[in-house]
Amino acid sequence: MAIDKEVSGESPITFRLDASSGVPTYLQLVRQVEDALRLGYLVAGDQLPRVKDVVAALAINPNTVLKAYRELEHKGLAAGRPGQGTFVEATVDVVVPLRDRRALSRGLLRWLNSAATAGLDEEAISALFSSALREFVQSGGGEVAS
Amino acid sequence: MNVIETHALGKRYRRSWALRDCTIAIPAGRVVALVGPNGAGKTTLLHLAVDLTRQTSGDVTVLGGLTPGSPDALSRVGFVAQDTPLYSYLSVADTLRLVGNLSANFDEAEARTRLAELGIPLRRRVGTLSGGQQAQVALAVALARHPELLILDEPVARLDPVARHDFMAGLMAAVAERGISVVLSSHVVAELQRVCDYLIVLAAGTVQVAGGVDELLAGHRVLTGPTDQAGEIATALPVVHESRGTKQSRLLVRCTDLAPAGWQVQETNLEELVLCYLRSPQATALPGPRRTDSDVMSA
Amino acid sequence: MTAATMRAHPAWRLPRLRGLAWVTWRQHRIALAGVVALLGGFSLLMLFNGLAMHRDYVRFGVSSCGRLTAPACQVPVTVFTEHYQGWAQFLPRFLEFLPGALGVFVGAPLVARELESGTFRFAWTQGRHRVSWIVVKLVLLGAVLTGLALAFSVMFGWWFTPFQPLMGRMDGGQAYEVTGIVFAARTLFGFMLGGLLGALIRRTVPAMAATAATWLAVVWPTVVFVRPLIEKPISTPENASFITKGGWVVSSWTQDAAGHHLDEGLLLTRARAAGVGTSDQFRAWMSRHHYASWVSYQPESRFWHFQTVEAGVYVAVALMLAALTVSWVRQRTT
Repeated sequence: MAIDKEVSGESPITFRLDASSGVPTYLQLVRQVEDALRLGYLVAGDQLPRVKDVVAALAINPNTVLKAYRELEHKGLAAGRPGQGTFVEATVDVVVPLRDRRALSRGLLRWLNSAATAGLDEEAISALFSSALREFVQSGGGEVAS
Repeated sequence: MNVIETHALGKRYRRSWALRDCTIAIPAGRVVALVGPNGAGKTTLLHLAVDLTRQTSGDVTVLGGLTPGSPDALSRVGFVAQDTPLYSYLSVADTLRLVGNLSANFDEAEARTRLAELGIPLRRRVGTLSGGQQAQVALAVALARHPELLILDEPVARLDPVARHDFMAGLMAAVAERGISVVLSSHVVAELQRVCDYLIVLAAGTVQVAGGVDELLAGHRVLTGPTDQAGEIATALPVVHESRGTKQSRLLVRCTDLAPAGWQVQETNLEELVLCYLRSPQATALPGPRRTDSDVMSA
Repeated sequence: MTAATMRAHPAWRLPRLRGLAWVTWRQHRIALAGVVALLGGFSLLMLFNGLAMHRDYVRFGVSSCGRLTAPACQVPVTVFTEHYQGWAQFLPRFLEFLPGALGVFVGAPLVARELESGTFRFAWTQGRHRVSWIVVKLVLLGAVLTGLALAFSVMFGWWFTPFQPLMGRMDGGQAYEVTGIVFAARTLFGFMLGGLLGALIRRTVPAMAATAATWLAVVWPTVVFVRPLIEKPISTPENASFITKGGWVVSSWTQDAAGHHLDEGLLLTRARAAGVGTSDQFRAWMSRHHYASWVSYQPESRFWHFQTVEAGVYVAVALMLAALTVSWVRQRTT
């Protein structure tokens, strides 16, 4: 039987799910929207895929999609219009001045050097970084618990 | 409203108890996963909720106090049994007519549309359809009755991955459209996390875990650290399951923020949570003061 | 009904079945078709054979020769019975088992098939309570089967009419079992028996076997042992006028003037010792000693009384079995 798995053509983007990534589903959807905004697939005024269509394509709980869209609303990236759907409000502006970016980059290289000196290889560094980043995100971006 | 509420529900077959002292309260609007090993009592619990069997002790109500088998319950609760039993000698169209004649508010047009979208021919006898197609027919029929609560007993156990996906996609789409409550049982946990937002773990006839998936996952952590400290941790925190190596141990604990020094804290996932509880029959995670009766809290 | 609706629903259409009635029809239409085919087939057989028989009854002169015991009727009766006696004796003995067959093939699978295949988990959760389900099925199918059986009995009664004055209908194991109302009552009994056994045994083929066995185990003894009890048979000396009254001989014996029953073997020995050789001599010797052959029988006139009592018992038992089946479906199931 042929089922059209693609989201119906109302929205410019379509979602995918990485079941084994360990990242919560709703967060994956949020990030995919943010990526789409960054890359220009979505602009202000575009409609996000309808909950029903996402659910029919990915076989996930509708509440997950609602949670993702609420998160996007909370971030100011989208807004729901009653009876019509959820629409993009603003673009993601990760406007980091070039000077700050360079400084951050240098700081990062320094840290990488000390990690390498301590004996960590690439995978160990990656693991350490991922876990620290997770803690950081979960604690709301505040102080990392030591 | 609780879509299924039980108090000390028990069912005995001859000498053994299939279900014992089961007390749960499933809130409305959720997709509930009822998981447990084979023989844990899942089918028994679901059959009690749809009046296919009678309890030995305790009571069960559905949709906020209705007795299973009462006219209201019969018309507002949908049920798809294990192995989706349909009459194999009937055509799909006749199956629709049959349910239309048994059910008060059957939307035959909706069922036909859904089956047409799936490419299931109406004239074929049900017995000649594949397992996946039969499951889709059973689902289409159940959804076209517009139930408030839909109960499915291991609906995808014998389906291939594509059929499984299509089945769950169809079910989730219906949930998205109409907000029905769904209770589905499964002995395979892996694919449930993205679909379910409420979990009940049943093992050896008793309820081990009951709660929202988000709350449960938020309330558990995996601690990884040195084995010689594992004993200390176990006295301080409720440990669900331990996995000990000679130097390193992993503990699944019920806690939210305690991060003992030198221990790595990670979140867990649904599959790991369920497996750990199933391996530790003494541990429980049951909801607290919201319930009307007092509960057994975990060891 | 307005003119418009009358045009939309022409009078010749069958009434549309709804709800559980439609479900019953759809699930059992093949079984019912089989019943109609079976009874219809035999009916056609009886029709063709009966038309010929009725015609020959007149043609051979049996209908116009007066009293059947009179010498004038000897030849016509003999010719007629030579042609058709075989039918009259063989056919009922075959047909009397049909009620059991109907019970086995329609009644036993009713609940058993659902339980065996698991479809009850579908049928009983689509909005109608299982008690309604079983009650409608038992009532509708029971009524249809009983109605068909009654019609069949009428057909047989017509077919048997020429033989009624010759053989009577009271003989156990023959026409009595097919004409009248006992045939239909036994059909209802067989159907309800099958329904209950199907529910208890839960497997179709074993339930069918059990239904067949139980039906026979109940029906056969009632013919042999219970029926005579309905009304005490009449005892009378055996004579020619009795034979053509068409009664059912329950037992026969020889007794002396005082009424003592005599051993037939002893009588024969004594008669031979007295030099009796032919049957005429034997009869003369018997009357000299005032020995007489007696029979006890149930006269033809008691036909409807017996039928009503026996059918009443079968129907009462059938209703009890139906109540048990409904109760079982309500309580037990799994």
